Amino acid sequence: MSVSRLLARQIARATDADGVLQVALLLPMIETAYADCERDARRTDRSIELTVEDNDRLQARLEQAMTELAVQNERFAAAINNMSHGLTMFDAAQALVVANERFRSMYDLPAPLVAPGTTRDQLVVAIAGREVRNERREDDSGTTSATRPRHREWLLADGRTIETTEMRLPTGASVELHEDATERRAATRRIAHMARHDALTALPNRVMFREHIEAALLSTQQEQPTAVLCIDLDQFKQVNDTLGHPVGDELLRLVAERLKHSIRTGDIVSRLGGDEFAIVQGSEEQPHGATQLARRIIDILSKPFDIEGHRVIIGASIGIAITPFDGETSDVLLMNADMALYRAKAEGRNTFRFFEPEMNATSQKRRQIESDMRIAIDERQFELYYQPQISMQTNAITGFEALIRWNHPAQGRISPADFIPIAEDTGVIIQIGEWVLETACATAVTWPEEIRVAVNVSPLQVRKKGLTTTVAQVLEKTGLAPDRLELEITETVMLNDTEHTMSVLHALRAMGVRISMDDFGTGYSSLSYLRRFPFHKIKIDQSFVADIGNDENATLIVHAVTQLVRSLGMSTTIEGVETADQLSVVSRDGFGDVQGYLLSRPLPASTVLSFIEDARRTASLPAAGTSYPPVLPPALAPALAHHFECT
Amino acid sequence: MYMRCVYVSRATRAFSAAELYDIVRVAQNRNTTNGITGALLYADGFFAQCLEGDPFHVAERISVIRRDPRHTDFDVRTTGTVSSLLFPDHWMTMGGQLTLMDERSVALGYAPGFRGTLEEPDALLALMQSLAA
Repeated sequence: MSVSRLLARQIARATDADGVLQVALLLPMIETAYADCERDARRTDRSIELTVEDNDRLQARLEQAMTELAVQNERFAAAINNMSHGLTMFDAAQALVVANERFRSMYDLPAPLVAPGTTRDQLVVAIAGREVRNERREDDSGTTSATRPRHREWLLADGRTIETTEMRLPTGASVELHEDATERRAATRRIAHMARHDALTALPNRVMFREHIEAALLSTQQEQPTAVLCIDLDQFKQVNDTLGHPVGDELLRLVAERLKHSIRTGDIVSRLGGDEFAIVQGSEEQPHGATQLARRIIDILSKPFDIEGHRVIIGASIGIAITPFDGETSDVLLMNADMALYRAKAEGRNTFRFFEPEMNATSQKRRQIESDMRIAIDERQFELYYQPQISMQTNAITGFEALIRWNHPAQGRISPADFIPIAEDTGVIIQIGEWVLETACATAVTWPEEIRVAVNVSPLQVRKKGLTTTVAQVLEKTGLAPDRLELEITETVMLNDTEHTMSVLHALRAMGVRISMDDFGTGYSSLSYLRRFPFHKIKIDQSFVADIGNDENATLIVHAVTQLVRSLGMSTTIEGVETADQLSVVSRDGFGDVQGYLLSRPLPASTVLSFIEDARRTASLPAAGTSYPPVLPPALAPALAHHFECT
Repeated sequence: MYMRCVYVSRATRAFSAAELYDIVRVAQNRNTTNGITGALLYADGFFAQCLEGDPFHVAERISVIRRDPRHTDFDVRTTGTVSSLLFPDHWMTMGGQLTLMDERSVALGYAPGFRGTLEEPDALLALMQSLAA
């Protein structure tokens, strides 16, 4: 209220009915009014003060909040613009609220378009590409299962793949994450390809091959049989060893090419590993189709390969199994085809065999031997027999060859011919070889000093490191003089890894151990081995002796070899002497040793010493009326009779 | 010069497809080494087989096959030397009843036991060739 109006009212109130201003009334009123006014002014001032204070406080808080918000906004912007994912938010009206830079660049959209207010449809139109997947279709009002994410996929014009995950909010707004999945997809595809293909030849590998067989089994049930062919290259290892791995790898690639050209539509060729390939043939009538395919493959793989200036010639062995007769799963079919392949290799290579159930029995027997053999050493089932070698000059025993026997607890005696090849293949020959060496040396040390022991050494023992150490340790342990030990190696040893073989043989020779060549004359280049290593002794294979009497050449060969070996300063043992006629022929030269059933069968260790004593006793008797060369060393006749009786 | 021998025999019992395949694969495995080729048919309980190859090996096989207890009524339809092979790279053809009952077989004069017009060896060989093709 203005002062003038207040004063006018006070004057009105202080004026009596006659219109006379009663000053005495007016003044107190005015005083009171001034006092009130003053109080009001003070109140007002106070109130203003308070308001200002509030205002300042609020202002400060607001400023703080603004600052914080700005910081948060900055962080948010930094965060969304530095995401590897693209991010978009649309409001309930499908207008863009937020999008990051990654989203824009991912879809290669013009910057002005990616701004708040742009609709989803406008953006979709601007994208160069098409949607290839939309996993959860729903109407755009989006009331159903609104919070469940929806997965979309875009294939862009430049070939990239973008995956989108969309979350619908209860308000109808939505948030999308966009990811460039191109690299990840490619990597996944590469890994999937690698897992199912062979890197060297790009052929399907075993995993994919098995899938193909299974698929073929399903699709051809009740219809024509399908054949599985397992193919193994002959002489591949030699190519690898002599010409090197790069040539071997190239050979495998070329083989893969030839195989691919040998099959028909619907057949699949695969590399199972190493030099093993396989084909599933569903395109032909069986077994005729497999026969023809096998012939075709053997034919094309026998043709020379020209690799890096080398003319490489290999061959192929093939095993065939046919559904449903030979199995109804990929595993069984592959196993049986493999068994047939094994048979093809065993029966001459460069040929093919159909699986027969009998092969399964053979291989089961083989597996049984394999597992039994591993425990046979510990169970003391092996035993050494010793066959004497007798000098044709002195009629005296020069040594014994240690020969292994296996007394199987259930199957009785198993022939070395049945288990030694398996021991070679599985590597068990190493343990068996060590046992033989140690046992033979420990036994021989009990014999008279001039009598040696001959121990067979397998190619694998020579090839593996450590043979010289083992021999040294055994000699040390048993106390046998090195020159009483004779190691017999076969010609196969000389075929393998020449440099290593030679160093092993020379090291053994340097230790004083004698080295002899066993089965001489059964290999391809026997004579060349004589130049390559100074053997102490050559053992002429019993096949030559067996032919004496039937084949005039056999006699000539035995004599010629004996002379040759003698002139090289080596001695000979002629093996397999079984008849008096044979002995009379081979002893004509009067040189070297003989070994065979005629002189003695292999003897158990317990009778060796008495055999030696018998031989000495009879040898000390005057051999009246006999002149060397005798038909049969007279020294041994009684001993022989004795030992034939007890063995 | 090769020897060709064609015989017909009666199975002593019914043969399943698996058993027939067994005969064929054993023969195949054996004969990849001795070079014998030929064809084998089985229909209505009868076998018809043609063997071709080195005279010594063919004669040897025939003498073994003749004694096989799985068949009887062994009837050699023709045997003799020939200058070329009818089944040079086919080894064996498995003929089931179904195959033989088709129109082709009937047109070629098929009758159970390989009788009738098939008693003429050339007709029988023509049937075998037709089914081996």
